[in-house]
Amino acid sequence: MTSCNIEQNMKMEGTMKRKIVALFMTMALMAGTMAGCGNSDAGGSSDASSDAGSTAQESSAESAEETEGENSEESEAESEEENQGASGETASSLLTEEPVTITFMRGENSAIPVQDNVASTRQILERTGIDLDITAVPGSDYNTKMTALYAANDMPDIFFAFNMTKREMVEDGALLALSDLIDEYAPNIKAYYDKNPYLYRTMVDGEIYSLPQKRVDQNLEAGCVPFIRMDLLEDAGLPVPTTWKELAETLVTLTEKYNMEGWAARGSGRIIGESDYSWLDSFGASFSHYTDKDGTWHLGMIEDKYKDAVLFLKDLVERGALDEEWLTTDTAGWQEKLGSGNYLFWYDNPTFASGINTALSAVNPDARFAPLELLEDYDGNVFNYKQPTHYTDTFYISADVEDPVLLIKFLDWCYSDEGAVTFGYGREGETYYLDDDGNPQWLPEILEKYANAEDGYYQASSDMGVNNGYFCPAWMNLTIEVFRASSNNPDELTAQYIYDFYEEQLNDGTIVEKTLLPPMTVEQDARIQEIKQAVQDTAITEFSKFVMGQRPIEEYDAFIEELKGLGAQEWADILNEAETAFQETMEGL
Amino acid sequence: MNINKGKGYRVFQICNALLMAGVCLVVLFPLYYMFIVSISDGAAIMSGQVNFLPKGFSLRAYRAAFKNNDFLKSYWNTIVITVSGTAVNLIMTTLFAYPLSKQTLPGRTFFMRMAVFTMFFTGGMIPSYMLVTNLGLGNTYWALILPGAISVYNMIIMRTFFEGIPAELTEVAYIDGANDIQILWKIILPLSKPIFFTLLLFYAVGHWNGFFNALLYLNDKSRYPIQMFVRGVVFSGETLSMAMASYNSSSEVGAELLSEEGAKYAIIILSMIPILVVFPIVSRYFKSGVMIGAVKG
Amino acid sequence: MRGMGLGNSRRDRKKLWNQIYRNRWLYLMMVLPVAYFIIFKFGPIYGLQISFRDFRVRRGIWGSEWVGLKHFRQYLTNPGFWILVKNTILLGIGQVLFVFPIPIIFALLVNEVRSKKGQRLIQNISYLPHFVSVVVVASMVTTFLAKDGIINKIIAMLGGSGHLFMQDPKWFRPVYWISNLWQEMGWSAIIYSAALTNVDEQLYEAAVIDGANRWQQTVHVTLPAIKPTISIMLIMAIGNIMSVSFEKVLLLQNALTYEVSDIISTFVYRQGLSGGQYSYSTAVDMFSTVTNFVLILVANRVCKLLGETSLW
Repeated sequence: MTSCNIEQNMKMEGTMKRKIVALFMTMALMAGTMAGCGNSDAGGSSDASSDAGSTAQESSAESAEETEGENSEESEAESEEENQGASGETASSLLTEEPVTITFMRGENSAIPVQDNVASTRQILERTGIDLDITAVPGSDYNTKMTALYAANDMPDIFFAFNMTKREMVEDGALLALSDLIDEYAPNIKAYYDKNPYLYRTMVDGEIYSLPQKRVDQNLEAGCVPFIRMDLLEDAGLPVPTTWKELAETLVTLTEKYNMEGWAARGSGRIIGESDYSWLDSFGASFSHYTDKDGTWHLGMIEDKYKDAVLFLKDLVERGALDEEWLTTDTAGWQEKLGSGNYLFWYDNPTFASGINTALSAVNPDARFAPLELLEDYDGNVFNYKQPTHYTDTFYISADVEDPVLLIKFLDWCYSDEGAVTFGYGREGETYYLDDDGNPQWLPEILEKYANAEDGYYQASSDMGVNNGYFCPAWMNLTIEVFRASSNNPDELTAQYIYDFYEEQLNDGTIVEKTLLPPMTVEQDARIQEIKQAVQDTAITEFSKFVMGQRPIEEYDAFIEELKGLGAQEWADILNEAETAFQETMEGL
Repeated sequence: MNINKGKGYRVFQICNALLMAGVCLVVLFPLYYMFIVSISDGAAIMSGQVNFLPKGFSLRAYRAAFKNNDFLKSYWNTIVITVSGTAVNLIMTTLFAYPLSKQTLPGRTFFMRMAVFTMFFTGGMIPSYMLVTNLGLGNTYWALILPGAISVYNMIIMRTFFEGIPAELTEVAYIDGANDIQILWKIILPLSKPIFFTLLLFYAVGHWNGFFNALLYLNDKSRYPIQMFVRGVVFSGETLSMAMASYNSSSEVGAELLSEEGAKYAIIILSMIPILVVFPIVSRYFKSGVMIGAVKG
Repeated sequence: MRGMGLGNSRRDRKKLWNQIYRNRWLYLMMVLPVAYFIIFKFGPIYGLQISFRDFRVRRGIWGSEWVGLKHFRQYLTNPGFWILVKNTILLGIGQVLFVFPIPIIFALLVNEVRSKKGQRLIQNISYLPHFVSVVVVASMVTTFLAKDGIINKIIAMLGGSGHLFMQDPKWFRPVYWISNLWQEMGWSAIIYSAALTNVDEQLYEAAVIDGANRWQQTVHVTLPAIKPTISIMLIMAIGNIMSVSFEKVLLLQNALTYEVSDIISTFVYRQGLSGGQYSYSTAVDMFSTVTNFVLILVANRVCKLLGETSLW
């Protein structure tokens, strides 16, 4: 059930969404993207884990990553001197003689409390001389907190994105410009940017101000997907719905037959669609901006498809097949609803599935939610978005850092193989060891401690400071999967299960990543913010009313005109303008 | 006083008694309801069977709360904040109220006006925030204590109380050569127990229940007070990790189920206990305390 | 409350200095509190100037460009702003109309209870909710009023059909007022109860001799006796019309009720601390402060003119 917190957190983190994949894998794979990030020349550092990265390469040979490793040989060649896992023997990689404190602030996922002085920070200190001081505020307060700190000009050295746009911060001179520093001191990051040209979209005036979270192993995420009470569907002898239309009929039939509630959702984001991922993607509609197949930007809320979606929801409400409290239900309440056995359907992140089913089985042993194949929209199309492999615009660096060179060297270490292993496994000799092939492995006592713990996955992450809940520029998202209590049950709705379930569509382009916004000028950025402010809250409120029947649907078209009057059309126009300009500069390069 | 005893009056008495009983019921019911939910069995809560009486019995919610480090920590933090904050409040308020209670103090009106002005005209959220952080108080408990050190309303109550103390009591001391500080300490304060306890309660409750300043000023979660914890659990959809742990164990036979609602209410009830304990102790003082201050404005 | 001639007569200057010297210990005591007021109360008022500037964080207050009334103009001409004002005032006025008089009635009724012990018990119970934090009250309200919450269960038992109170704009204000009433009725009544015990017994005796019944006693003796307290409390309540408990509103509102629940302070919070529009939201904030201030001055004036007790 815990994954809700991650979701919660994510919501706060705005642009970069990060999810922990619920999947079962015996070995963490260091995927091909690692290549080119070897430590061959990173400030003369050579260490145990570069070795790990390169050898793991073999096992990930089949992973569907766009970049294949080239530098693996190099890094393999030079990891010799490293061996017995213990700490402290890697003085050569220290970036600084005297320990230097670097502060980092993030929103916390309450399932993974951030602790001080954990295995990963200890290893960071030993290997780099950097004392990483991490401050965590509850994810839901992160925006407020950061905006306040920003007003007081009291920013931490490294922080996650918050409400202030990158452009605004750049205009204020609050962000450190990274391009030159990266060219000079950060070969790992540089190589990574060279490999992934789409990262240029995150630049401001051709300058790098934010760093992505690099996913080092395989991305098994498949976006948000539909789940239905399969046991009841079978019991009623109904066919499995394959289109949204059929789904509506099925839900109505089942709610009547079993006197149950239909679709349960948490908050407006999942229904109205201001969240990054919602059912609308698969319905062929969108609340916010999106790109069509030709790469043209549209604002979904003013298009006919969105009206279809509103009518679809309104119909469900009228026929009692959509929980009327969707707007005010929070994640915890939503999970409790689904676990109570009174609801039939949900459309959300599959990480929730296994927890919900566990809760459900306590109430009724036969009850279970199972995923549905992606539903066809009114035009017969099947489509969905999935979470990106690399979460862009994740880390920002304050312009006030005392020693920018040291900081960038440290960050470069973070993106190295050694950094990735530290964020994935903690500290050598304390939580992991390197096997004969040089691959990191959990120490037996760690495996024993967490694999059998009540909530091992989250506990392990919290206690050792590993994975996404901590400081994790290079993300091995599969390392702690072994601690999931249920990871040995083949029927469990793990991320691997979900991945296999949608594998075909994940590979044939039916499920794709979203296009990043193009870089914008000051004026464009300001105007978009202005329009967004005028449009967004109003739109959420009014669409909610249309759905709930609190506003007559006859006024819908007039409302769309009102939105256009507030600049809704201009929103898309600006994006297209910026897109064209971006394409031109890219061609120029 | 109740000399008039017509029949209508007796009917009124009965109706009034019923009405008062009704009021008490309405006041107490929400608190009672939270209590019964918090001690009921998780499965019964989730299936909506707990209405007016507890169903089953389980202290799982309370046990879970005591196992939660963040909860215990925030509880302790609140005690620290409340004790030190209230001490600062009382000292500062007394130091201001006592001089202002002297009719003969030159400038008394000016200081009084200044204080009352700030009661109704404030700088607002953002300037206050900037000030406090620029003073370097950000992320410290001082930020929760100092900006509200004196409540003008409470100060006026206290001043009025002091004004009511007969001057004869202090005159002898003046003649004996005592200065104002000695007089305040030795004569006035011992006489001021009612007002002291009243204000103590006012201020302590404010600190105990405050969350907004903590939200603004504290960055470090380990410093959060209890209301921030409660808020997180209740409003931000942050599930208690303890509640989640229960889902995993719930598949075991005979394991008690912990419902989210029960866990919430247990936390809420625990967060209210100190106030509910202190209240009866102090309450016998405060009616006289409030009265004296307020009636005279 | 009149100051003792602070420099109002030159002749008395020496006398004044004498007096100040005599009170030196008192002034010494006041050093810290006065410093407190200057720093923590007037400091932010000084900081209000950012509402006349385009505050850019890294340039500081003084380095930020002076834009005069730009932000004020911006919101005064925005129709959305007047909805905020309307919502704020309606919520505040309702507070004064419904939540203000009931504690007075309650205090009177408690006073009529014959047994002193009973009075004490009722009072002690009725204070309790005052000590419950806003966070807790708001959470109780939302869970009790949920679709399967206890209120809807009671309604269902009585044969009614459920209602989604929290999502219904019509219910937002009543829910806000009623929950305030629940929380503050007993507490606000203390002051009136205290005033009631101060009423001179002889007045009642005289009234009884004149043949007044209980009701007439209330109207002709009790109410006039506590009128000063009522008028003071009323002035304070009016002065707070614009500063309704923003924390509670923030916790109770949702997108479906924004049209009535969005008030100036929630807007300031959203724009200022979540949206980073520091100057703009400070300017909006100033609007409600100034309005409040004017309201209390007017209320005080009116009370004075009507010959009632006033704040100053």
